[in-house]
Amino acid sequence: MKASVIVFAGLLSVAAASSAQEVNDAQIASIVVTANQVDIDAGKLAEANSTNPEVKDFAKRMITDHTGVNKSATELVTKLGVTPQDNATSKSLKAGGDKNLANLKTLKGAAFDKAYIDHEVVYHQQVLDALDKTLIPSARNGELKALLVKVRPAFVAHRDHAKKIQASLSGS
Amino acid sequence: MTPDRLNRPLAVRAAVLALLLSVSAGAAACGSRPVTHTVTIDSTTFQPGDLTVNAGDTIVWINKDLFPHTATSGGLFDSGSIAPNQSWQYTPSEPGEFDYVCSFHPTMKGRLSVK
Repeated sequence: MKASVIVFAGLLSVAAASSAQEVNDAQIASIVVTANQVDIDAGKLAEANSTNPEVKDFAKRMITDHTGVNKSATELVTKLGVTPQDNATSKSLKAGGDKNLANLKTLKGAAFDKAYIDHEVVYHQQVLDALDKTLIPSARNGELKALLVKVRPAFVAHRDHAKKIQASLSGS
Repeated sequence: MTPDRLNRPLAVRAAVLALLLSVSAGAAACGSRPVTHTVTIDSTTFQPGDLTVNAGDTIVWINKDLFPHTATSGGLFDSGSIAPNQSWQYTPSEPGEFDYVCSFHPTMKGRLSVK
């Protein structure tokens, strides 16, 4: 399991490196919506499949929070008249999300919980890296940039919450 | 009744009133009149994170974030879920130091000092 996480993290950093270039606001919109949707989908699977109350609560929180962020992001891009535009980073996020779901669907019980939470730690870190290196510096529209800055601490809180659960799962 | 007699008691009354007003202003400065404080919840943070109030004051937590939060201090107070653009208020009656968290985001911390 550790090895697969490391390989996955490696793939993510390759994806991050390939996207460390200027992106326009339409591409940023697509990245934001995709990033949130990927975590909502993983959360729905975990809420349905996990039997661990701590993991289930975390999954519910991810669904609620990322749905709230996507609602605001969608309202903003609608207001700005921006049509989200697919790009290498949004495609990589979607592919990573699909791969994670496919893997989780093969697992049950403690193995499922561990794989879900391990991925949540890596995923939130990946989005933080994208926010810091690409999305926030590249955003042209002030309101879009402000939204990214506003949601950034949520990704830190989610990552650190996932790390705490990760530690408690490995200790049990 | 001359105008002079009429005016004297009025002047006394005005002086008494002015004295009463200054006493009550002094009492408010000493903190005995309850005031309302606001903690804004935004960007997954309590702002201000540290707040000092007097017992009897009211604290209003306003959620300006994009998703629900709570203000929860083990055993003392628990707002329950505060939806976006909603608020919750609490009036502490006893002095003390109270650490609190958002129970949905345990890394989100605040501190309330009640004097």
